[in-house]
Parts: sequence; C-alpha cells; structure tokens
Amino acid sequence: METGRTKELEAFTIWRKSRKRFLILIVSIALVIFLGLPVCLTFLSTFMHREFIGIPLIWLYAFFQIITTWLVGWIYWRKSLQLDRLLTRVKEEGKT
Amino acid sequence: MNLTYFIFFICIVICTLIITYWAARRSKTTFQFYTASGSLTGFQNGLAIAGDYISAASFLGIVGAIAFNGFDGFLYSLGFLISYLVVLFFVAEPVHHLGRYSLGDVIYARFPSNGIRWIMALGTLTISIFYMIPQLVASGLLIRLLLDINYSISVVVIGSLMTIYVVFGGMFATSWVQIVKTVLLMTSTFFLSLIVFSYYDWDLATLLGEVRLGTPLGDQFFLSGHLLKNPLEMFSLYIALILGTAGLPHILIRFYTVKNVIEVRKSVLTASWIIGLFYIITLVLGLGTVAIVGYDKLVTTDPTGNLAAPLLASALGGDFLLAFISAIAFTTVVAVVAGLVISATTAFSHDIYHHIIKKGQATEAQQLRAAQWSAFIIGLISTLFALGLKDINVTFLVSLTFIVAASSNLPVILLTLYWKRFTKTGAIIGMASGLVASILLLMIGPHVMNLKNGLIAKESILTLYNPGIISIPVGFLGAILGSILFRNQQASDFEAFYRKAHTGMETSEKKEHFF
Repeated sequence: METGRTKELEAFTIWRKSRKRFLILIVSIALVIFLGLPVCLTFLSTFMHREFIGIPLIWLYAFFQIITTWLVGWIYWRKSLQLDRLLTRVKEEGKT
Repeated sequence: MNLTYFIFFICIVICTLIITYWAARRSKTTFQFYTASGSLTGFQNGLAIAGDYISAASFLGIVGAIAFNGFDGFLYSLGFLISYLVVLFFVAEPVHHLGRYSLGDVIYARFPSNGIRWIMALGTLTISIFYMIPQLVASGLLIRLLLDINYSISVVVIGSLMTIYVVFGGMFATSWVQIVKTVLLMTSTFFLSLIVFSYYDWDLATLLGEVRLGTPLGDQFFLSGHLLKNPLEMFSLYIALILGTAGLPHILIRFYTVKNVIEVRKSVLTASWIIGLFYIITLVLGLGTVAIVGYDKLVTTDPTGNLAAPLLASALGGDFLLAFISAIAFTTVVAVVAGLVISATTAFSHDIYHHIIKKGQATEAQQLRAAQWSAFIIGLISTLFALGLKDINVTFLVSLTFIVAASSNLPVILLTLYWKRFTKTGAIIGMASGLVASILLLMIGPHVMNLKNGLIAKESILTLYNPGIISIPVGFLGAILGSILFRNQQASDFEAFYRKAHTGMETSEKKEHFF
C-alpha cells in the first residue's frame, strides 16, 4: 500500500513538473508574440508601417496573432492529451 | 414599423420562446437549472461561450470602430480573442474541477468561509449588473434608431425576454439561445461579407482602393494611431482586454455545463475559433462599410458608428437584409444579457441565499424557487436601471466591467489556484483593492471628468481612458501584500487543493466535500 502511494506521488510529481515546464515555455512564447504588437507599434512605428507584399507589416502581424492564437490553442490541446496519459498513470498507481 | 422588420423580430422571439418552453421541462432541479445538467458537448458549449461573449458592442461597435479608425478598431478584436488563451491555460480546467454552480465555489474550495462567499458573490453581482446595464441601454438606443420603437419599450421587451429565458429555462434555455444566436450571427455576417466581396467582383485590390476613397484618412486608414494615440493607452487597453475575460463570471460558469476537462478544452478552443473567424468577418464588414456606404453617410446617420453593419446591409440588400441583420443584432443582445442574468442569479441564490442565509440547508425546491425569484428580481432591477440611465456613458460601464474583472476577480482566482502562500485575507484585500482602484481610476479619468461632456465638468486627473495598466497591478499587489502581512492564519492544505484543482483528484487521506 505504502509503495503504491509512493509511486503515485512520484508519478504525480512528474506530471506536475511536465505541466509546469510546458506552461512556462508556451506562456513565454505567447507573451513575446502577443505583447510584441503594442511594443513594435510604440518603438518601431515607422518600420511597422512599411509594406511587405503590398500589405503594411502591422496588418501582417495582426493576422499572425490570430493564427498564433489558434496554433497555440492546438499545441495546448495536443500537450494536454499527453499530460492526461501521465495522469492516468498517477490514478493507476494510486489504486495499487 | 415596417412589416418585414416585424416578421423577423416575431420569428426570433417565437424561436427563443420555443427553446425556453423546451428547456423549462428540463430545469426541475438546481443542477439542471444552474448547469444544464453538465450535458453540453464541448462544441456546443464553445458556441454558447461565443454567443455569451460576442455582445452588441462587438458586433456593431467593432464594425463601426474599424470603419472609423481602420487598424486601431481591429486592435480591440485581437485583445478579445487572445484573452481565451489566458482562460485555457490557467483558469478553465481548475474552475471546472473546483466549482459546482458559482465562481464563489472555486475560491471557497480553498478558503471555506462566508466572507469569501460574500465577496465573490458581490463581485459577480457587480460585474454582471454593470455589464448588463450598458448592454440594455445600448440595445434600447439601437433598436430605437433602427426600428423607430420607443427606447423604453425596447428596453422593457429585451429585459422581459432575458428574464423569461432564465426564470423558466435556466441554463438550458440560456445556452441554447446563445447557440442559436452564434449560428445565426456567424452565417449571416459570413454571407454579408461574401456579398461585399462579390460587389467588387471578388477583387480585394478594388475593395481596398474604394476604402481609401471612402475614408477621410486615405492611405493612413491602414496605419495605426488614429484611435489610440497614446502608447500607454494602447498597452493598458490591450492588457485589460487580454486579462479581463478570465475574470468574467458569466464566461467562467459556462465550464460547469460540460462533463469533463476534455470538453472544457474543446469549449475554449471552439469559442476561440468562432470568435477569431467572427473578428475577421467584422474586418471585411468594416472595410465594406467605408467602401460602399462611405464615411460621410455613416457619420451623418450615427456619429457613434454603431449602425455601420446595418447601413452596409441596407446598401447591399435593401430593407430585407437590413431587417435580417437588425434581428440578428437583437438576438445578440438577448443572448448576452441572458448569460449575465444567470451568472448574477447563481451568485445570489447559490452563494448568498443557500450558503449564507440558509447555511447550506435549503432544500432542492427552496433553492430552485430562490433561483427563479433571484433571476426575476435581477432582471427587473437591471431593466429599471437601464430605463433610468438612458443617458449614461455606455463605454464607461463596459470599460469598468473588463477592468474590474481583470483587477479584482482575476488576481484572486490566479493566486488561489497557483500560489501556496496565498491567504483568505489576501483574497479579500485583493478583491477590494482591485475593485476600488478600478472604480476610482475610472472616476478620475476622462470618461467621467471631462470638460466637454463629462459627468464632472473638469479636466481629468488621470489621462487614461482605460486604467487597467494601473488597477490590475494594484489588485495583484493588494492580494500579495495582504497574504504576506496576514500570514499567521490556519494553513490550508495547499497540496490537496492543488491536486483537486488541476487534476480533479482528491488525496486518499482527505476526500473533502467542498460544497
């Protein structure tokens, strides 16, 4: 019984660390991308108003943010499924 | 009133009342009333969240903002959309695991006390009612403009409908009205945007050329700096929009309507896809308005820009399309206000009546009756406020809602879920400081203090329209300092709480009943 609880605790610690690592990474990337727009508009205004393939960079960045939101959401979904499998292990260890 | 308009309105009202009748037969217990029995799928809940979130301000306001200000109008849309990642990463799953009916349940799970129930219930009531009033006021004004119906009649009709949905149909009716609204809104605006493209023979370059001709801004229309000239204002607005959603009670209680965390994730992802696509469509509609209707006609008809989409519909499809888009705008309003009524109802009847007044001993029948009476009274109060506050600054109340949610609710939710040393006193101080800072900063800002048309005809002390950049850190700081200064309290078992919050599992030693 005691061994089962120790294993459960170990599995839970692995789940917790993996989730924390993933969240720190994805939130850092998201912060840079999403806060990048107001930062660029403030400090690189002239550059951001230049055109690339006929479209001002600010618009490209804005559309990029929409796509990034969906992409980041999808990455979270995939990673959560992996983490759920780890969590199932925690539950199984808890039963033993 | 024109007969076409009347037919569309009657169709919408009948359709939603049929939904309510169907839902009423499924709302016989509190679990059914507050959470629709947790029976929605993630996709359905995502549609309902989008329906709850896309207000008249989003639909009509953003099309107008883009038509007037180009890129800066679109910036609002981005903030609203990105906010769903904050909900997904940090809040949605723990709320589902910890809560049962209200947002108060979540914080109470860590700090079980009546004080916490009180403050969370008051926070929810404040946010929901403050958000409901501008929605009702704006819809009354809008329907008066569109259909030439008296302002008071418009408000009473919308107020009565939202109350009927919630009193009789609870969360079932609210959810399905929101789902129907999302489907109608998305399909109609999508087809309207296709008509815009077909108007210019599917040639984007011609459309953009006409936009340049239609706006006094010319080429500058596509650049930033027309609406948000001050960079600090832009940052402040962006941060409040991104963080605000994760503190909005009417959005968070939607995570009780699905059965597990996979459906919770699906809900948020579906909502983010729909909201993202919707904002791309509003961009096309904004551009179409400038190109087809023209800035001058828009500003002459309605200087606020809220009639941009209806004017575009009228220009493209005459009375018939205008009537259809107006009916959609009407559905948009009733779906959002119904969501707000049920959120306020839950806070009052579940947190205050059942847990505080009845000490958790109210019977099922008493709870259900209290919920229905609460919904009726909240609906009535909001309608009366909206009737009396016709001339209130709507933008002020909408800003207040998002800023209070981000400054007051969000710090407490996040620190409760993630900070081991967070205390009950910290939670109360955090809530109070965020709320006071938001209200105070808005009161001394240009929304209220304004030489031209302010409530106080003086130069504003704070120049920011959106003081989130100050009030959000104040909320966090209040919560953190409160926890550090009042540390010597009975320590709660954070590990057990963390496990329950993030996995839904309870430790074998301690299987607590939080409710």
